[in-house]
Order: sequence, then C-alpha cells, then structure tokens
Amino acid sequence: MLREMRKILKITNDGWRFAVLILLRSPVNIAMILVNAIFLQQAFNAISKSNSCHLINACIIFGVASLCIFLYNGTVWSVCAAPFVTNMEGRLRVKLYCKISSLSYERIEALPQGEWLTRLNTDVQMPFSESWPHTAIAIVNIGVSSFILWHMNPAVFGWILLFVVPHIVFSQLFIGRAMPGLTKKSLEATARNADELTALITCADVAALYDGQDYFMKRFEKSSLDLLRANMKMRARKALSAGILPLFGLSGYLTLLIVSSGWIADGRFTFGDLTAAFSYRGGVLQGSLMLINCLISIQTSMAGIRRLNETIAEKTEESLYG
Amino acid sequence: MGITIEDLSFSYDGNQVLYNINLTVKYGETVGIVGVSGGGKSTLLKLVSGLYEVQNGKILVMDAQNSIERRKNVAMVMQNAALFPAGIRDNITCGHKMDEADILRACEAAQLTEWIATLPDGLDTFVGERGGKVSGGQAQRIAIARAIAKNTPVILLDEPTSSLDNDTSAAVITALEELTKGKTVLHVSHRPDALTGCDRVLRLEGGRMYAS
Repeated sequence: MLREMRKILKITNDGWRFAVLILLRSPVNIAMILVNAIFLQQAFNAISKSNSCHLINACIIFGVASLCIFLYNGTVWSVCAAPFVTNMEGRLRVKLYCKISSLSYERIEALPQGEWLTRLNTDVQMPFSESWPHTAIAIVNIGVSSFILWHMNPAVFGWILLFVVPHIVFSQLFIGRAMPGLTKKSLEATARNADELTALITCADVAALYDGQDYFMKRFEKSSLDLLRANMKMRARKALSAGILPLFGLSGYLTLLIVSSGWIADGRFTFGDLTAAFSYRGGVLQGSLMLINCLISIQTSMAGIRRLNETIAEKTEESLYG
Repeated sequence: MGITIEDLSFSYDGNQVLYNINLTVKYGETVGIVGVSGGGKSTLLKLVSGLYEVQNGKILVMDAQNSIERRKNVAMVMQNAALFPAGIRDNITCGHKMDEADILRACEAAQLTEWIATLPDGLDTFVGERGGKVSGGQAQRIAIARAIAKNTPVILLDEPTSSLDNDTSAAVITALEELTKGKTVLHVSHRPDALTGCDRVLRLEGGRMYAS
C-alpha cells in the first residue's frame, strides 16, 4: 500500500510537502481532545470543590485554546492543503495524459475506452484523498489517548480496549478485506457502462435505421444495473460497518459508567477524572473508527492507485520501437 | 415508385447544402450519384433514409413520406461501418429475433461464412469496442450482412468501398452485388468508376443535381 503511494509521490515529485502537510495536520484532533478532557476534568473538580475562580480560569483557557486550534486547523486546510491537492491532481492528470497519448494505438485499443476515461478522471483523485491525513490523525489520536488512559487508570483502558478491538477486527474482516475486490468490480462496471453509452451515441444512425433503439437501451440498462449492483454491494458493506458502531460504542460506554461508579464511591476516582476518561475514550474510539474508515477507503482507492502506477510504468511506443 | 424526391432543399444552421433536388428512382433501378466530398451526397442519403427530417420539399420511399416509415423501407451501408461492442450475430440482427437460417444466409451473401467458420466462437465472436477486433473489410461485410438481413426494397450505399484496398474491396463488391440484387439502389461516390454498374449516373455539385 505504502509502496504504491510512494511511487505516486515520486511521479508528482512533491512527496516531502505531502508528508509535511500530514505532520502539520495530525496533531489538531488530539490537541482538541486534550483541551476538552483537561477542561472537563478541571471544571468538574472545581465544581465539586466549589472553587469558582478555578472554574473561570479553566473556561477562559479552554476558550482561548479552542480558538487557537480552530485558527491553526483552518489555516493548514485552506491555505496549504486544498491548493496542494488541486495542484497535485492536476500535475498527475497531465502526466497520465502524456503517458496515455504516447502509448501505441494497439495498447490503447486493447482496453475499453471507458477504462482510459476512468483512469484520467477518477483514478487521479484517489491518491490525494483525505484518507491519508486522516489515517495519520487517527494513529496520533489512538496513540496519545491510549497512553494517557493507561497512565490515568489501566483498568479503564482495559475496559475500553475490550470493546474497541473486536470492533476493529470485525470491520477489517468483513468490510476492509472485501473492499478492493468490490471496488475493482465497480470500476470495471463503470468502464463497461461508459462503453455502452459511447455505443449508444456513436451507433445512433445504426440504431435508428435498423430499429435497434430498444436493443441499445436494454444493453445500456443492463450495464447500468450491473454498475448499480456492484456499487450496492459496497454500500451494503459500509452500512454494516455503520450498523455495528452503536452496538460496540454504547456497550463500552455503559460498561465504563457502571464500573467507574464503584471507584467514585470508593473515592479512588473523581467525577472530573471520569469525564476526562470519557474524552480520551472518545479519542481512542473515534481514532479507531477513523482508522477503520480510512483503511477501508485507502484499500478501496488502491485499485485506482495501482492502475495509475501501472499506466505510468507502461512502455511508450517510442521505447518499444526505438 | 422506389424513391421520389421533389424540390428538396436542406441547410445546416442556415448553411444551404442542397438546392431544389428532383429525382425519381424507379423500382428495381440503380442510380449512382457522383460528386466531390462536401457536395451534399451523404446529406441526401441521410434525408432519403429518414435519419434527417425534410425541411423543404418532399421525399417518398416506397410511397412512404414519414421519416420513420421511410426508415422501415431502407437499409444503408456507409463508408465506415459502425459496429457496436457485441458479437457478430447481434451486429447483424440489432437485437431482433431472427431465424438462424436467415442469419447464415445473410452471412453467406455477405461473403462472411468462410471467415466465421475459422472463429472459435463463430457468430458469437465479439467484434471489439468500435469493431476494433475485425478488419475494415470484415466490418464492412458485417454491415452488409446487417442490411441483407433487414431485407428492405431500397438500398442506400454511401461510398461503401472507398476506405478499402483493392483485395478487400473485391469481396465487399461481391457482397454488395448480393445485397442489391433486384432492389432499388441509390449509390453515392466521389469516384465515377465505383458507379460503373449503375443504370444511370447523376452529378451532385454545390448542392445541385445535374445529369452526368
């Protein structure tokens, strides 16, 4: 996966900027989780001790920190990331176009017209999707939140893991693994559908003269249905992933609440600690979900990324015949 | 009467390409029209076949004036055969139910039988996207077989051999002879020698028809 992506970055010749942008973006979410957790912990502890001065300070610091994170995140996205992605996509599309136009006619004709169009229009968008920065964000979220939870209370961390790990395993087994194959089928169906549409237009005279409009329409409908079925299979898997989220999420939340109520009663844990633990739990859980979705999305886009690399690696007509 | 054209004029977006064309092709007659490229020959055939709507004047094909009715009475073979991404059979039948014997007869008349016999999938061989897996001559003969299978009284030919070499066009000419046997034919070409077998040859120049 990483090797294929490295090849793309080599082609676009701007891998270091891509890495820097990911690094710039990755601490934003965990910073927000930390600020939120610390604020809740401090605020509830101040409330339980009836310390209004501490509460006001906590609120002011939380407000300023949130504003700073918001401004930093907005700057990274709008000033750096969005123009970068547009530029990279454009550059990749030009390189791909140049490559395709230098291939032999025999090679171009060997694949359906729709497939070349898909490579030029859809595949070039895949390497620079938000999945890559979001993966980095998710990994940072999981790592930092887990570390803090472990130090806060290893038992809490254990309970959280008990619900998060099966969720990740289930998602990977039933969704992530199936995605590349389903995406490939969907892309193939898209190409066939584009071919049928082309035939519908280029053979319009034949269709009119030989009363074949129904036949052409049926062929187009069939290929559209195949495309629909291929996409439906992908959507069904994604819906399954969304369906198990409340099952694991809510169960984990309730379990932690029940377990920690005893600790609070014993005085081993404060209510502020519990709310902070819930925030860090959110960091682990959201990070894990984000990681699952990103991995699925990356696996989905790998079919396109691989095809891009294959196209770029193809021998041009000049290199074939000297 | 096979084809009757009366005072036909036609223009593309205000650019007049045909002026007051009058022509009568008797049933069973073969009429050739010669003219330079861009002279309006293909436009005339598209009008006769019902692919274009008549703007001014009148066209009757086997007494049918309506463009949809005209289409039912004609089959057309064009310069570059348009094949769609399907098997040979579907390219001939265009999805219509047809007896196997009729399809084979059309293939025989279009000089396709020997070639099809060499194909592992026979009539169901995929012709490729835009007919990319067959040669120009084979594509043209499939288009002729399609016209034969339609079995219409009027045949329109738009330079059917001009893009083929001599060896290939011989087989196509034989196929065309089978297609046009006993039919009303309107054949257009920029080469006068391509119209040697015609009963009459007219000249279309600058959108006007002249006796050759």
